[in-house]
Amino acid sequence: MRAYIIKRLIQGLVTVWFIATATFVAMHNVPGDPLMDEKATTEEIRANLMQKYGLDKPLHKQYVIYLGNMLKGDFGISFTQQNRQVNDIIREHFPVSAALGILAITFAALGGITWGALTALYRNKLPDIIIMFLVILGVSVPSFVFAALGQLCIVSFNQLVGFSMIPVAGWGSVLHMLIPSLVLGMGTMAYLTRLTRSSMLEVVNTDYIRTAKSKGLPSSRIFLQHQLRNAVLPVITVLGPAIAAITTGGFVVEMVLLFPGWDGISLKPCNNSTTPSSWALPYSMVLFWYLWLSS
Amino acid sequence: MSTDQEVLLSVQNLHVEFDTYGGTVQAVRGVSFDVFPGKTLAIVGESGCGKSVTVQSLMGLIPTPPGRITQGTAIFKGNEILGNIYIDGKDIRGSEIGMIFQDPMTSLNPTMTIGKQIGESLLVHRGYSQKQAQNRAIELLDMTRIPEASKRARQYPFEFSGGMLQRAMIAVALACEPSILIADEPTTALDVTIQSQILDLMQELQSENNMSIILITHDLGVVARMADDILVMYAGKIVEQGEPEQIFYRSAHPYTLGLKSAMPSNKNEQDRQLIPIEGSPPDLFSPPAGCGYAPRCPNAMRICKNKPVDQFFELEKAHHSACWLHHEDCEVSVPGLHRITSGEQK
Repeated sequence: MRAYIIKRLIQGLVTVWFIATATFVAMHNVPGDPLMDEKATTEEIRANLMQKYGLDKPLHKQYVIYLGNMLKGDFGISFTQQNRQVNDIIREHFPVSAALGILAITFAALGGITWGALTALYRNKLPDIIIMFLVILGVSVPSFVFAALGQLCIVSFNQLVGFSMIPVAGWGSVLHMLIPSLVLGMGTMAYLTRLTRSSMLEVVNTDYIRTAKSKGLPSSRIFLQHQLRNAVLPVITVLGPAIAAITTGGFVVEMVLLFPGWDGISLKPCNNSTTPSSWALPYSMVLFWYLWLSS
Repeated sequence: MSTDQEVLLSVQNLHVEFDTYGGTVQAVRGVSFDVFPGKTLAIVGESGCGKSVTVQSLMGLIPTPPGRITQGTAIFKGNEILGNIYIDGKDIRGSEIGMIFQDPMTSLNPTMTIGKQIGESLLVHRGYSQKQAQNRAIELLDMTRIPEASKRARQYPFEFSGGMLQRAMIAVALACEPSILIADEPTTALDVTIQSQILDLMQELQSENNMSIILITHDLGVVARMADDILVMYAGKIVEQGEPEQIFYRSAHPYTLGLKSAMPSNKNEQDRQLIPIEGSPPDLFSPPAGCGYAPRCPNAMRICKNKPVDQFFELEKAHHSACWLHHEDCEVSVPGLHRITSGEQK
């Protein structure tokens, strides 16, 4: 066991190093530099700034500093947000994404298992056909479409109620998270529904279900205690990676719904090449993924 | 039929069919038998002859559709149970009739402790509390000779060996002290020493609880050891029935003779060869017009191929055979086949 843990830790270090290096190389090969955005920079100011941020040093030196800082967990200061540490930015935005992710995965898991169980129960009957049609929609329609549709629904709902009961976008209360989490969880829910259904249908033909029947147990008990309990196992297995995927994979939804999460924020610096942030954010996500999956 | 005792379960003229893409399979074609308290009834026959389907239809375990019970009655303690396994709204499965299956490795739920699986029917049928059920489960495991029962009750099926799992299955089936135990090839998946232990256990528990056993098997050795009555089935029908001595020593159906000559024995018979039964069982999509065994029967006559044997010929008390060779007009003599002697004829 100990040897295994040590092995995994070393593998982890290599993975993290690789990602860090890949991000570094990629960002330095992107045309332009972090200061191109500044208005009316004279050569002098530009040189000063380059010096301030250490961008004038040779690349290999930058790389060593970069790795050293990362080992210390220090991602440096932000170029765009004055006097802010990148770590602060992550600290501010990660909880938003995490809360949204947890809500989304809860919704996806509960919904997926419920719908999956229902479809298996009514196999090839009307409820099954309807739910499976919706599942195909859920798998194939991209999340930004759902996000926009969700906003539209809320607008109509608010009009119906007469006042703005559920906010359309932004961040604040639990109600703000309603639509984003539904939209974010939709694809996973559809996938889990299919998984639960096939798993349920597999379990229903097993010998131990026959044994349960031969014991004269009521069908509700057979369904919950014997069938569902076993059918849910593969769902739990995929739930692990799904949690990481949902928590870090919400950037589209966060952008569309103006949600100040980690995922959306982490894309911004990549767009305008604000170097430390663009390193740090994907890197921290990989770190999160890695720690989550290996634990 | 073998005793004058009260009948516990009486099955009459059972027909079971399955609808498949290829057509309708007539799996069971008119099976009748009686089960007596404290006795063991063995149903013997090769794969696909309808043994398992017969008992599964009694237990309501036939998936419907595609399965269908088209005819027949099954009277258990004065109640019809065919197609309606409830007596006074209570499920008799588990409480009155227990069942164990061929493969103990897959017959128990892998995600539930053994103790819980044993106690479940007590919770449902007897209204036990969780704690009472668990305590009784430990007693039952102890009764089925599983060492360290209280520790074992908290374990999961993967922690048990095959023989122990079958013991646990027996504990599951006997939890509510049923009056009938149906054992569907209980020892087929186990090796011979374990098989012997399991059969011993079943016999001990039978005499302790005065329980009837319906034993399904294709192993004539098991039958000889366990049975009080034997049904020999072929192609969905009973071809011969009687007590073990009658079936083994005074066989009265060519199929039984064929089975016997295909069976090895412990005696040192160096010159005796095992003779297989040629051919394979008939296709039950379209059962043969006459006797099901006629195409493979070395003694088949013209009538055998055309006219089904719709009656049993009584050879002696409780010994019946469905074979035209026993008809009073038949003068063919078959070596080894027990015939009706004039003194015993009705």
